[in-house]
Amino acid sequence: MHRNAANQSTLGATLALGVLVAVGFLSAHRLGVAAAALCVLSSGLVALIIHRETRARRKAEAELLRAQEELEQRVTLRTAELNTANVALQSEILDRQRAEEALREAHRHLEARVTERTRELAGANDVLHREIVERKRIAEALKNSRSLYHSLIENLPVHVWRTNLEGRFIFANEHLCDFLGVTLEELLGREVHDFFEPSVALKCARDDRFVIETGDPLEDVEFYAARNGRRGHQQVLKTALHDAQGRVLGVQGISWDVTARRKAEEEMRRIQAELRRTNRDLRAKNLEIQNFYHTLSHELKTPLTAAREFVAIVRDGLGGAVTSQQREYLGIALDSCNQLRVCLNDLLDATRLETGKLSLELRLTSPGALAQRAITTLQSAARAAGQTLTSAAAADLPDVMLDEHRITQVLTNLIGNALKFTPPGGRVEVQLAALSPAEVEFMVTDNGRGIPADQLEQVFDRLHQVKAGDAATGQGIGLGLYICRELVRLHGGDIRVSSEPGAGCAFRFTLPVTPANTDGGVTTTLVRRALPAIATEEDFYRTLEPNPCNPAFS
Amino acid sequence: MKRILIIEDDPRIAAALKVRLTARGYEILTAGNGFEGLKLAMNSRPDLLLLDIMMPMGMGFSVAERLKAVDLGHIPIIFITASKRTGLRRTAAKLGAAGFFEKPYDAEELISAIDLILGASTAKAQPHAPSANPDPRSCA
Repeated sequence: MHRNAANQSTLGATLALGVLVAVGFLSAHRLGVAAAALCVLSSGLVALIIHRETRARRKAEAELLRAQEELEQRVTLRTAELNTANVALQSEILDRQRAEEALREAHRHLEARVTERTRELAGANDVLHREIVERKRIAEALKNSRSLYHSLIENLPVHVWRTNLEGRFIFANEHLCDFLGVTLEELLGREVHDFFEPSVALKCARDDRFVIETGDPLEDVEFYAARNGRRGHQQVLKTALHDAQGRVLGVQGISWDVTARRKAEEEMRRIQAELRRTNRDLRAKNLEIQNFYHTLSHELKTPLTAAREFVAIVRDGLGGAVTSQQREYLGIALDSCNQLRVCLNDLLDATRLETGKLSLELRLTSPGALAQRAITTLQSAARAAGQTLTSAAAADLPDVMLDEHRITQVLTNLIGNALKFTPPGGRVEVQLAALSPAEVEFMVTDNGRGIPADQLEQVFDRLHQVKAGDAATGQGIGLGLYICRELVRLHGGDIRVSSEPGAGCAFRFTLPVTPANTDGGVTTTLVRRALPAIATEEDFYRTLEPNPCNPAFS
Repeated sequence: MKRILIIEDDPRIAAALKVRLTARGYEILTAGNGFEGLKLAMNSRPDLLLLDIMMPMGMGFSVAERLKAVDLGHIPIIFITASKRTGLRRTAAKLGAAGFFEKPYDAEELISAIDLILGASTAKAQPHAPSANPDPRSCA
């Protein structure tokens, strides 16, 4: 508007100027000059108007430019402002985002803490729970333990009590109360003296003092006498009672009655003494019997030997001529003497085996030669009985550590038996073989009547023949096979029998080449373990009992 | 004639032995105890001794030892005993016994043993007159 106003004033000024010029011309040139002045005025007016139009346009253009520039400046400014604002906004957005992130983080953290805490709490809860269970268990165990102690203290047949330093009861179990005939309430606070005889109470007090002063436990078996009349012996255990600081508070005692045990012990001692006495008597008796045996041995054998010898001397005509009938009678007498001799020897051997008095004299001996000597000795008897007696020995028999006298006795006995149980015309055979380089076997077989199967086990038993009541066997008292077995066993060997009734039997015995318990020396003595004396005596008397089946003792 | 000294405290046994051995052709001396026997042995120098072990006045074994001590240890000795006491046989063997018999002895075995011992010594002294029965086993 301002610009429009300026342009109109410029235009007015130009018009005013034209008019002034025109007036001036008119005045000067009166009509022709007025017309030329009017023309010049009109052209100047037009030029003025044009000039004024141009100037306005230019002005407007400049103003437009300026305005445009101004606008541009303002746009630039505004853009810059907007940019600034934008940056600020973005920054703010970023800040907000960060803040939000931080917030979320904080939230997460919080949640984690909450979870953790919850877990911790749950754990703590578990622990607490377990603790409660454990406490319950402990309480239960404690209860059980108390119950156990109570049960033990109250149910064991023992007296349990505690007394304080003044000797007054501060605890007692039911047994003690019952024993004294009082209730616990009545007992507590009272003294031993109130319930027991003075001498007993005095000893008790003395013992208590010892325990309190030394702190050592005390154990004793003592006599007791209660005022209620009960008496006996009891085993007492006393120990000192201490508090937590180790101060002695009193005495704790346990006692139980041992009257019955003492009686039993006394009885046992009495019985033992009696047994010792009996044993001594038996030993003395055994010795007596052994001495008797020696005497018997000598006193029986000497006259028997003389009798037998003189009968033989007369029979053989050394005392003068004898008739055939006299010779026959003397022969019977001689047989009887021989039978007596066998019995006597068997009896003595069996007894010596029983008492362990029989020992071996071992020598390295040829078993073949030994067997041959035994057979030679018995050959005439075999011939007399109309029997064949043969022997067969393996060629490679080793020499054996044996008691020649005793093994000859065994072999003679077996052959004698075989001849005895085999009818005339029978055959008895002795065979020897080495079972191994360390063992030799002797076998005596016959074809006699044999042994019934049910008796095979017993033929080696002592007095078997007597038990069987077999009087038909002629001689011996049933000790022969028993002695054989014992002698073979004494050598470390074994003996056994097999039989076919009616077809004969076979006795075999083995001997180790070197008995286990010898050092292989030339002569060794084996002593058999002594058997209990009592058995020996008993058996001895049984052996001596007259047996109607046996002519030797009738 | 061979001379045999019997030292035996039981007169019945001594008598029986004497009858037997006399009949067998031996000269017999008898003594009733160890002391007597020892004296007789020293004086009469017998060819063989039959010696009881269990005797009063000197056991048979001590008689045998004494004989050795007086240089009569060469006389063969046959011991006879009624005892079954352990070790007698071994002791006899240690003393160099020519024989050992338990009572009741078997007279035939005893005579065989005596014949063998004296026959053997006879055979040594008189090689041209050997014993008719050198093996006692064949007499059994």
